[in-house]
Amino acid sequence: MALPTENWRAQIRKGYLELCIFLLIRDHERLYGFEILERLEALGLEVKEGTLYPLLNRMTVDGPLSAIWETENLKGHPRKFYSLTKEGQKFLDEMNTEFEHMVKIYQGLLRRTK
Amino acid sequence: MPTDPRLENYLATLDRVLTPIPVSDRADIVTEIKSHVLSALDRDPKPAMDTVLEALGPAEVVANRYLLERGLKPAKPPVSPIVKWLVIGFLGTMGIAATFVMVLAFRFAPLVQVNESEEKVSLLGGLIQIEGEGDISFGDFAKFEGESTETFAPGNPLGIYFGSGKMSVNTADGKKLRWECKGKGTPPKGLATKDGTKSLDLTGFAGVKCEVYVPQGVKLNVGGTNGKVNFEQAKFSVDANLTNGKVSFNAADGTKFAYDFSVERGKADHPNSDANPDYTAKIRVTNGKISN
Repeated sequence: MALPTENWRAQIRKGYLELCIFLLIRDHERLYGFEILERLEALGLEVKEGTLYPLLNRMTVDGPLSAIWETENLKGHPRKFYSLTKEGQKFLDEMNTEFEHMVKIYQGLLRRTK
Repeated sequence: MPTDPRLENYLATLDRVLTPIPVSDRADIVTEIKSHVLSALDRDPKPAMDTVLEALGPAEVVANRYLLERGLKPAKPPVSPIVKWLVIGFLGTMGIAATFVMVLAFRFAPLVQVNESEEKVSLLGGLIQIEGEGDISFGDFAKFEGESTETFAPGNPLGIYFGSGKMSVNTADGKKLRWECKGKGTPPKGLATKDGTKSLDLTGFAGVKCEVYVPQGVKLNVGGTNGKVNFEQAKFSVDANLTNGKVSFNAADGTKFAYDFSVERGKADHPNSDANPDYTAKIRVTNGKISN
């Protein structure tokens, strides 16, 4: 049975991971799956491949992301590039506001308990 | 460039489990996973295909994550071949057993038949019959009962012959021989003459079971191969030969007998003969027992 902290971490990570993916894509305008994986890892956020791709797929189906297949050069294999849609940009703004609000509450609580 | 068969298998499994998703989306997912694997191998050729696929996780698990993200029901985990064959074997055995039972039920119907007037229970279409106080017999037995047209005076010879079975010999009230038997085959219509003696010849029947009532005072000759013979309330002379089995002899009250019992291999009671005997009881058994 998973420990309570592991359950909590899995839940909070999912929303947090989505936010990080949106921010990464916005910063680079467009990224393909393997790049996202590498950049998240470089930031210290390790994500399993089997978790990232289904998440990207759902974010595309839901509308915040758009995807396009491209071949970088003639020898390379096709890669699926993700970018933010207008709807995704708006969604990211709302997510940022909500997350900043949450962080403020968290920091306020931390100060009180110290 | 030909694709690695391990990757092909992985993608095929992924595609199979993703069946609830529309085919165009499914192809898109499979292509993206393939692209990921090729990117991983491009970036660092050192890791083997197995390592890259292992990092992705089992194809069924990855496919189920796609389904869950789309709010679809995940596929059931694949059944191991051992479990699958165990289940197939078990169900096959049960099927064969059920078929066997159905064939038996059809062949031996009715399974149970109770005849209250004859105090008889037939099981498996008459294959097993239980009568009276629990006598059990196997097979499709027919009853045959009869009475001799001849009468027998004291001292007249009379024969009873059988192959295998159980004979109960009693003293009749009248002067006629009477029998109540059951066995397989065609019953005798009357007495035969054997060696110049009127005889009830049952040697053509297997597993015959008889109650025979013998007129008082006759000289009874009994011959059998296998089985059991019980002489009850005897008021007649007996000269009996049985190859294998048991013989019991009980004289009627107040009747005097000269006994001559002999068993080649087995055990025999040796009752004392009465003075001035009315009848003789000479019994021979090759293998078995004689009791008095």
